[in-house]
Amino acid sequence: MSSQPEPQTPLLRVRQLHKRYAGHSALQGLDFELRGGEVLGLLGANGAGKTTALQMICGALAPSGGEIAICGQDLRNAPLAAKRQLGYLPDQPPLYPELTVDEYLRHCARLHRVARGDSAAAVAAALEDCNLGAVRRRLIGNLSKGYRQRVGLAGALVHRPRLLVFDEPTTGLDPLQIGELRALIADICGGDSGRAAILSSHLMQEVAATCTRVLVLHRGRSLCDAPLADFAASGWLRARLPGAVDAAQLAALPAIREVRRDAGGWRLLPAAPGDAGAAAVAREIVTAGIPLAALGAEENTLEARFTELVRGAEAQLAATEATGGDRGAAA
Amino acid sequence: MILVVARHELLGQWRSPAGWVAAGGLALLYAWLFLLAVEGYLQNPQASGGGLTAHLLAEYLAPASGLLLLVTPLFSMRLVAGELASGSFRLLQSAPLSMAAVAGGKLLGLLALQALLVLIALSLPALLAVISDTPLDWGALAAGGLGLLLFGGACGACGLYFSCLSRQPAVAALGSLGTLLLLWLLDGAANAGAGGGELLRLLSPPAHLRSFLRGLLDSADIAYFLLFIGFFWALAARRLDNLRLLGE
Repeated sequence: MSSQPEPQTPLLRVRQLHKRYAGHSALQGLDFELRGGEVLGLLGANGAGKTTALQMICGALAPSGGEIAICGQDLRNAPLAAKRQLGYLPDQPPLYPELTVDEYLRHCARLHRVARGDSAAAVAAALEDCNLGAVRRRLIGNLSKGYRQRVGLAGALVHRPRLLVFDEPTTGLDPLQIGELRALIADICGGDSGRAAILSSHLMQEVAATCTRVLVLHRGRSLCDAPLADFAASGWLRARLPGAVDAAQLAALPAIREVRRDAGGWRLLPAAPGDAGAAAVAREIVTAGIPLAALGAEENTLEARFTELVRGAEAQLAATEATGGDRGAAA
Repeated sequence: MILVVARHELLGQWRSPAGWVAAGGLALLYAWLFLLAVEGYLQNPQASGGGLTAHLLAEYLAPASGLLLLVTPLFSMRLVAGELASGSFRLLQSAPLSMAAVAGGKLLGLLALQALLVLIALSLPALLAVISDTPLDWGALAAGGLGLLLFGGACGACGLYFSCLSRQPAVAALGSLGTLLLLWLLDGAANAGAGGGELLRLLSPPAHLRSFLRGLLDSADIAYFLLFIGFFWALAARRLDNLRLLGE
């Protein structure tokens, strides 16, 4: 097997990744790194560029520009060395229905250059990791969708890669199977396993349940790349103000930067961050004589944050286009 | 790595009923052709002027090559098209092996299958020799068998390339069969005295098979078949590499 990378070398490094099809940019300047123990969720609407990015990372699609390095090996200049550390499970598992599970895993092991003497042990470990022992002698074509997904996962794992890539891994599975697969991914890529995984999805709860980091893609651009915990805190305060309250009166308070009202009540964005900002908001509301029943930090959901990011990007794009249109008209 | 792909292809042909039906059908047709050739020889032993071996080469292995041309597209059509359609090609794309190795492995697997089919064809004269104690020129028959293998390999290489062009195995089979029949007809056109006859003969695989079917090993003909196979292997490898650009 190939040599282990230096501990400080990221398992995956993506720099300025571009993909252009005829007149259309599917991916524009994607940049990120992935280290051992991390599970990165690639989140985006349909057509955001998730599958394009994953296919390029796996060498199934040639980039128009940019660099990809897996365990320090450049995918363009040393593709075979780079791919030895890669396990890929596409949205449709690459299976041969006419093979048994055992035969398929042995074939995967040989394809990924597992030594002939080690292949039996590698297959046994992959079967155990994915709980496939009971079906190892059955034809893949006769297995249920959930089991086939597991076989695909075992095929991606059999050569013990450092980097795992999953494209919409739970598509078509029932809730029970989804839970099992998530647990399996978390187990395989757990903190001290030395492995990292990248997982694409358009399902927020999937990313929230499986990933440690989230990268939001929209129209081929990265909108945000942050630890999952950062998505939980939005910075907004949720206030309960009984009686008739004027939004303009609230907005006039120096400690409040922005005021919004929705079905859940008032949302206030403090001018200063943290507890000090929240305390200043509470003080000024009370001082202004506005009745304050409750005030607390807003518990954000990944979905709300994602929607906010995408809407913000759309608004920015619309403004840019309008400015361009005005300039064109003026010219 | 080429051998891993080749082994998978060779075994894969026997995992579906289609492979068994095609091989079984071909064996039956070989037997029928062999029976016709032996019967023809018994009725007129002087017809071919070179004994039973020459008669079998002309009247049995020559038509057998036509059968091989017709049946090879059935074996080659799924090589890549089937994998593209089912999505299993992603496994090869993400594995640490080059597309030249993928194309080479698939071709080698098909060549191993062709070798098996040629052995089936040669087993009938061997059976005749054992049962009836008939002396045969095994050197000449081996030359014919090698010619058949190279000819089958050429048909397989052409089929492999067409299998890379489509996701539908039937389209790949029709494309390779049409091309092989066209190349076959070039020889007929050259024999009929068409303009540029020598050039047409140079391009046509059946014309280069003729020397083998006379029991000869002509290095120029061997080189032709190897170049033919190498040309289509390179085209197939190039096409598979291009799939990365197209995102298929």
